[in-house]
Amino acid sequence: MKMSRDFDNDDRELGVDAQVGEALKNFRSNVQAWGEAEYGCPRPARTVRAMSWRVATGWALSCVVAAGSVSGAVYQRHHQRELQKIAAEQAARQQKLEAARHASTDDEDLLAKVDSDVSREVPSAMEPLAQLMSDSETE
Amino acid sequence: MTWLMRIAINLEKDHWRNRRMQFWRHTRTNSVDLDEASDWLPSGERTAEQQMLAKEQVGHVWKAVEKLSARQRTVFLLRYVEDQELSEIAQMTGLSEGTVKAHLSRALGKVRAQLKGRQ
Repeated sequence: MKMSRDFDNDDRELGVDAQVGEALKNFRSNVQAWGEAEYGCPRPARTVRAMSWRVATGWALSCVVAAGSVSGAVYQRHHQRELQKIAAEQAARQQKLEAARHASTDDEDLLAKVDSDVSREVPSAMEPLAQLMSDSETE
Repeated sequence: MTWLMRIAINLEKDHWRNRRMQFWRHTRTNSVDLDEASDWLPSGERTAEQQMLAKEQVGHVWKAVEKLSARQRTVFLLRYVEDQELSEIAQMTGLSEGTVKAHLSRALGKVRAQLKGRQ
């Protein structure tokens, strides 16, 4: 119970004089002492059972809630990791494809460049000679 | 984990509230034996005579409390035993502060009359 306080303006307004105030203070001490003694006594068996049942239920509920939140957090973390893994795999595959595409275009460009660098137009006066050279090569 | 702590604190509060309520339930369901009730007084530094006087006063207040209507008794006990403010009592009982004051005034009138009746 709360500690007793002095009577305030409201009480004086209500007509609590010295005599009534003294009686009320004694009454309060009386009820508080009696109440303390009452709930200092061991509780009857039925009440103890009821209380322990409530406490047990409270604990069980708290444990269920705690276990639920922990497993939820673990599942969430696992799920996030899986998603991250899939995303990383996809990104790697995409990168590989990009690299392959780049490589093939690079090769084609290079070949075209080499081709253009190496090949020269033969002057028309030399054409019969070039023809002869290509014929002898085929033979 | 803060909310888990909150649950634990609330369970503990409920436990103590229930124990306190048991006392009031006991006094409500069983008629109060005034002689037994007035015996519960902390002796403190009082003389035997002062102790007797206090016991007598407490007996008169209990007698007056028994004569109060249920609402007057509730308001009176909340104010003078549980130390609640008028606004708190109004909130708890769903009455206006003015009505709470009126009930308290009537209850105090009966207590005063009972105390004067002994003289």
